Amino acid sequence: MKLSRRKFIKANAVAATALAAGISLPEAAALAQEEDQNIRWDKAPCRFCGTGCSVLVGTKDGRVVATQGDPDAPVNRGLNCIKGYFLSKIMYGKDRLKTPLLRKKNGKYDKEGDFTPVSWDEALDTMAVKFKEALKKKGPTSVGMFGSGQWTVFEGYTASKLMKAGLRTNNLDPNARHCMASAVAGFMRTFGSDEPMGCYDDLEYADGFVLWGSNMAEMHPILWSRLTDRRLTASHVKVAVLSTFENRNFELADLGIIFKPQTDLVILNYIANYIIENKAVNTDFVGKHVRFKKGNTDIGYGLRPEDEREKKAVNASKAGGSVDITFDEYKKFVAEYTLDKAHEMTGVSKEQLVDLAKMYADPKRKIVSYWTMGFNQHSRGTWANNLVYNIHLLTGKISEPGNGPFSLTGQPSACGTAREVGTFAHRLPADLVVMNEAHRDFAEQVWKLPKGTIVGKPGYHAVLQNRMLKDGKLNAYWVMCNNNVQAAPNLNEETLPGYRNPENFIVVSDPYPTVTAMAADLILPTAMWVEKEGAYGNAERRSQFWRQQVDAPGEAKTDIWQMMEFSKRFKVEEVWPAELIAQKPEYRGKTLYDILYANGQVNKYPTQKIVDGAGNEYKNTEMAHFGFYVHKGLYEEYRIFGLKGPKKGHELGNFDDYHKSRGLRWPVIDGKETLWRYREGYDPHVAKGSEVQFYGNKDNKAHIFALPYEPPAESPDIEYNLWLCTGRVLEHWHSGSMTQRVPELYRAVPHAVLFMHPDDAQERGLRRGMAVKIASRRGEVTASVETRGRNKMPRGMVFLPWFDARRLANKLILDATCPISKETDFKKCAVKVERA
Amino acid sequence: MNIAGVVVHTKPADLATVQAQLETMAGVEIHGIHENGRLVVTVEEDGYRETSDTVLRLHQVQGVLNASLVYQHSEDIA
Repeated sequence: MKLSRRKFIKANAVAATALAAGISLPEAAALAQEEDQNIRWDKAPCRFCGTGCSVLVGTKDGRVVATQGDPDAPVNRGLNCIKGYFLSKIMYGKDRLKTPLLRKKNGKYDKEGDFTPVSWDEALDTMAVKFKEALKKKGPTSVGMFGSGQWTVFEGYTASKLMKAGLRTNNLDPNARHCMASAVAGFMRTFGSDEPMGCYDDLEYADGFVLWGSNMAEMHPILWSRLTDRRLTASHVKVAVLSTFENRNFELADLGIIFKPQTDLVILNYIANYIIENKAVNTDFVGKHVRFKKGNTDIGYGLRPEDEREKKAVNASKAGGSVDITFDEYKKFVAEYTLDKAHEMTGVSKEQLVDLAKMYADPKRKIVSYWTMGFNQHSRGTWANNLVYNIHLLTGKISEPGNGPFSLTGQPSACGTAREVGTFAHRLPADLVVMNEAHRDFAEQVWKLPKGTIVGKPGYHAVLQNRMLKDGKLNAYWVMCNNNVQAAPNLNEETLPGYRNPENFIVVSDPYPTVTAMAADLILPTAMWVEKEGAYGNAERRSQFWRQQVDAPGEAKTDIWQMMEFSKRFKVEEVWPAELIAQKPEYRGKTLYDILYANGQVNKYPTQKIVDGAGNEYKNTEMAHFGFYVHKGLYEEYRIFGLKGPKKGHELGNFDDYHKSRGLRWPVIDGKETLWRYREGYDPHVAKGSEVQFYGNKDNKAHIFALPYEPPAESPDIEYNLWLCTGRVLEHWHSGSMTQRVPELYRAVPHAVLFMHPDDAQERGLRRGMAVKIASRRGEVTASVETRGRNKMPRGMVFLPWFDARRLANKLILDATCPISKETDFKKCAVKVERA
Repeated sequence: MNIAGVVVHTKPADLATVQAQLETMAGVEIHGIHENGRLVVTVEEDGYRETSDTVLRLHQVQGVLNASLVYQHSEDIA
């Protein structure tokens, strides 16, 4: 019997859902047996967060019509979160950009002109003129680029070469600076190597989970569902949730802890003290694998140097410094974090503090700590990361199944691209840094560049880029794959004046007219997600590849196309000094495209047919345009950094293997992935008989840091009497530039609301639903008050999501950063709230 | 035509009340229940609401810990 189309689709839905839920429904499975011949299914990692769920993408007549959680994916096992519902729709928003737009008056570029459609040639030519003008006038520090943890691996690598090698500027930073920089700095400081040692498999091995400033239920729902499964199927498992307000995670929590902002530093030190006092230190592990250090204190807040708070800070210019100490000195240091003191400073009950400390101290309980922005977006973010490592190192609960600290990621390739490719202002691929001459030498060798091409001084980081735009020191600027006007802090005082500074030319590449695009001088329409071949790296070191499924609309082009075509417009003589070219006379007269991409390596792989296991054929727009397999060439050159570079343990696998698998976790050695780094038996880099080697550091030891509590840059006072925290919501991802295009999602949570305690509202004469003005020293926004709902605020604290372009929450935020990681503290500043 | 398949997660103790609430929602159908707290649910448009609105509302149901999308199809059919 022929089923109706609706019945057939529904049977498919039921069969797939039952399979993912582990329920047997043979009837539905039988109905769904018949294959839909019209739909082509192929895998791709999700476009949204850093979990890295694999999705089956269903394409029909050149359009994505369906998606399904990939049942063969080890990450999500057939599930997707709600944002997955919108994956097939984010490419089809009505206001999708399809042609380059340049601000023009009387037929000419004019910063005060209106956006006018132009050809790609006119767009890129104008851009090249502006970049060359800046280079000629002020040199390479006057040009720069702001990229993304949503860039594919290939795109980030293309950008890194273009900026750091081609234009010889280190002013390249990703939006991951706002998200992951403290995690990176914490990993490098403690372990000498970036990214987690464990993986998601820990979710099924642990006996306890502690969430430190992570709204996993809303931001990483698939990992949360795995954690929920573990909690509900093993009764001894305990879940502790720490936050500055009550969120959805508290529904499952055995221990739900609300602490005063910034005092997580106190709790972390109290736990270390508890472990030492109660003789729960794993002395064997600590003796063999750990070294103790004391970090510099009074390190300021990463504000402009003329700010009083910076002038007063003794170690503002030496924020990352430290000295060696003994275990006894460390013991004495944490001894002052007593239960009484911790209770008093944090506002957490003594009973809860002891319960939490016991979870870590109990040698029989395997435990995983998770964190996201609560730690990272913190004026002492690097410290918070270091301090949680202290606890895992003191107890030896690390680098083995079910035991370990795990930094979750917010973007799909913050790890794979921003961190591994190294698109930060101080980084190069595979944990190399521009400050190290040996690292620069290695990169120059791989890239076939004359010695001295890469500059040894770090460029402007995210927050500094906006300051330098405002100050007129950064003049030609390309923003790609992010919405930084909405995302960056203090936009009224720093970002917007920088973008609209008459001395500057701002280019924004985006699929949609975001707030950032509208603040630009040139907008470039961009291909997204499965409109191109790509690769992302998720939070557990898993690299996942996908094939191009559909064409980009109109004149929209991929990021790679845009960068490579741009590079063709520069003769090397226009950007490099004569003495550099003299080292490589064969480069004379060549373009940056010839030197960076047509270099015999990137263009090594000829065009080929792209075919999946079932024989379906796929397009590859870049391959067709440039005449070689661009992605493969970029990847193979990039891979040399992990295979032969000076930092151990970054090996990636074969290009074709990734297209066949559901991703592989690096280091990949002899085709095999690594689940737990640094532990003998799991990580082939660890020498036999040594048990554990933290080989990111030369002595194979991890560092425990003595670091105190220090107050935030700004706290509530008599006038600005509330704490403000910003963040995301379940339905919208980051700035909403994709999810707000989906009408259904837009209706579900159309506007950002201000979550507030009912008594705080009443005290100000406010009622639920009333419009209010939220003001900080830097600006104000209007929103309506919500005293119920998913977030329950304690007294004295309000929460405002930042996805809503009409309520730019980040106007209110102070551009205070962790002075080590340069990541902004979006979680605490002082505001007042009154009737609008 | 918009159809979604969703796994709804609840504490086993809350299964009955979650089931009862889901059954009152237009466009929602329960196809299977696991004693560990998992329900197999499909969601369709009901003439008033888009499928996605209902999928989003699943999260707001008292006792629901998590609602995970497994399958989503949207297609114009004549």
